[in-house]
Amino acid sequence: MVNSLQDNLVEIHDMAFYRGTRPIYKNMSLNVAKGKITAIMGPSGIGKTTLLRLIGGQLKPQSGQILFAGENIPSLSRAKLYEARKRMSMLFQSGALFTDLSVYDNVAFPLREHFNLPEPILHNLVLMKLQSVGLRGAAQMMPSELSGGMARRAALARAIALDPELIMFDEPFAGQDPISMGVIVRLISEINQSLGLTCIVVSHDVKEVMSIADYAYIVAEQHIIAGGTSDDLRKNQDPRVKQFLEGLADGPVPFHYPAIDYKMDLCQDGGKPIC
Amino acid sequence: MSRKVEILVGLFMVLVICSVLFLCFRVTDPTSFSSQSSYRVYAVFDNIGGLKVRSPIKIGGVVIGRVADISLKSSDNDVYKPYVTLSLDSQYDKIPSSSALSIKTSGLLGEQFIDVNFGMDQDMIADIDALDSDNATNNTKSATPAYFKEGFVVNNTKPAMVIEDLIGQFLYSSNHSSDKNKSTDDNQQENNNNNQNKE
Amino acid sequence: MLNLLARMGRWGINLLAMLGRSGVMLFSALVGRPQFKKQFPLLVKQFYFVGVQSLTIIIVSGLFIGMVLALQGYFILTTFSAEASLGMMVALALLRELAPVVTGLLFAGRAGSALTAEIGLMKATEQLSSMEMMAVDPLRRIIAPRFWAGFFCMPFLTAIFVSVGILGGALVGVDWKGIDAGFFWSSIQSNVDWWHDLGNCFVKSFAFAIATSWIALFNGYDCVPTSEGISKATTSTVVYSSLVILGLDFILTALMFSH
Repeated sequence: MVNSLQDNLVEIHDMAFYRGTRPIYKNMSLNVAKGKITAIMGPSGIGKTTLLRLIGGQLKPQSGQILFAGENIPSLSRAKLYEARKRMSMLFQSGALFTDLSVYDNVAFPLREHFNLPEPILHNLVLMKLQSVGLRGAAQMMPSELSGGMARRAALARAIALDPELIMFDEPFAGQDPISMGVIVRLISEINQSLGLTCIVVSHDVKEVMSIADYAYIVAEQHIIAGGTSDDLRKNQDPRVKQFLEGLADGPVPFHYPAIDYKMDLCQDGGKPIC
Repeated sequence: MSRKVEILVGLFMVLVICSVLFLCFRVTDPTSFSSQSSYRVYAVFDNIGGLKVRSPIKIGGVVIGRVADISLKSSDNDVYKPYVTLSLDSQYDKIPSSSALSIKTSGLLGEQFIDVNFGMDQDMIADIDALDSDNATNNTKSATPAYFKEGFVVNNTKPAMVIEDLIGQFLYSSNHSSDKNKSTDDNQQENNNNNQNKE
Repeated sequence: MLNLLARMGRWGINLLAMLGRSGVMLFSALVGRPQFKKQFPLLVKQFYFVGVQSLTIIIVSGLFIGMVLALQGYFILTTFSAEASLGMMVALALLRELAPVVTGLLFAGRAGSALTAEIGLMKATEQLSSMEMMAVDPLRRIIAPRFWAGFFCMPFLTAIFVSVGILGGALVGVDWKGIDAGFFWSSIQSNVDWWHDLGNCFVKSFAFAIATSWIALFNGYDCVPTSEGISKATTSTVVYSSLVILGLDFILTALMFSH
């Protein structure tokens, strides 16, 4: 795990983040190797999306470092942060397409904002991006006409429009039918292999993630509890890892949300015991 | 879509320009737009009645300026008197300095304004002065300019007619002497004449 | 008792924090190097949404308010046989109070609530976040053009409102009630001062425009990104804008017409 800066695109050192007084992360450290697919897994509600926002600089940690290509994201100035963001992109769970623009204009949006390209070049670029996700035929459709899977693919085309170094996928498989899930798995590995992009995939779909990830982390209890290749993780004997990977209902992560004693609770009616 | 939006926004702007032009030329007096150069004259009144800042100043019913400021000042003998600053249009620069200012009311309930009654022209004064002693002539000529000009203080003023006073005077005089009664009648007659002129 | 005091204190602090956030939002949206070439088309588009689409309601209400004002004024003024001053009454009432205030209220209801809902929905669907991740500042790209559109459109709409209102007044006074057209228009011209009445009308209008657009945009930008949060934000846009417009109107009137 000791890597030099050249090999890691993202490094998080000893980061702590609190939402109000509730700790989300404590002593969090992880590395994302360049050109590899790194998966971050964990139960829902653990703050995986928050982690991506922290890397993107939309949230600031209370302490610790988040290095992107050697630059500490939380301490960057506004202008520098926007420069750094041009080199990364993020695929949101909902796709987050601009609903007032067509698919074509959505993909063209970051290009139009950042470069003054002549219209024919722009046209070709956008169609190339759309072709790579298989949506060239849907260029003139509005986002409301797309299915969930197509919307996510269109968002992926937009995310790779600026040719970033890093793409962060936020729950790319959530709520997808098996076919579009397969399509997205293929697209992620294609993008990684053909373009050499570094990918961070945040998900709790163990099977799909394990099939494409070069390296995976499991997050629980505000920090990384395990990390390694998929084989390493399967061999891991930590009961928390085992419970998560095998999807057991009860284990170290209890089935019940912490509550007062069941019997006591049933007997209470507005604070007054009734039995 | 985009083309249609542009055209509609263009139409909107045309409508806005039309209404601004309408407001400028139909609703306000276009001649009052150009901030004409003006000069200031001061006047001391005994009573200004309901005169306000921005009340008009008229000659024969034509507005030649507006009241710029009203304050109370003690002049020579420490008596506080209303001190009115008049801002007059500089194109009317031939108002004889002997003109009298009086505060009048347009209509029975209308707003009050300052009426300028032309005094004698300087030539006429000179003619009259010629009949008087030499000393007096020198004094008037050196002290007062021929016409109203910047900073001139008008002392020849008539106070505002206060309607309550007039009525009181009328009642009082009708009970007592027929002499006073007559004079009050004259006053009112004059007032009415003025009103008719204004309307 | 202590509880109440604590709650009031918390409310005050929250209010202060909200004001601070809204100020920061507006500041970072508007301050920066202007890029006219890129921003002008966005502005035109927002002019369409904010200005053109509010036109119908402004024209219709302006017309009817002018007509009603003339009718009521006519009934009152005939008792003094002062119908000739009807034009002045309609024009001054519209210019000094009704046009800026009513336009402001209608604008808050029509355009302000739409702006809040639009931005709130953009936030809820992560469009603002994703824009930020594309290194496009949503404050500059989304908030700023909408603010400028509101800032300019409201006085524009006010001008249209006054014009239509006066024409409506003329329709009732001159064409229906038979007041002499010359009297009608000359009483307007001689009594409307171009700075004191017309200028102040636009000063008020600009003030209301800033307040309404600011409130609408901030409520959208700061809303809780759920359907309930958006509906709450939209409601509070209309409520706060209306209250602020009425309050501001009193203050401005007191400042402008007190002497």
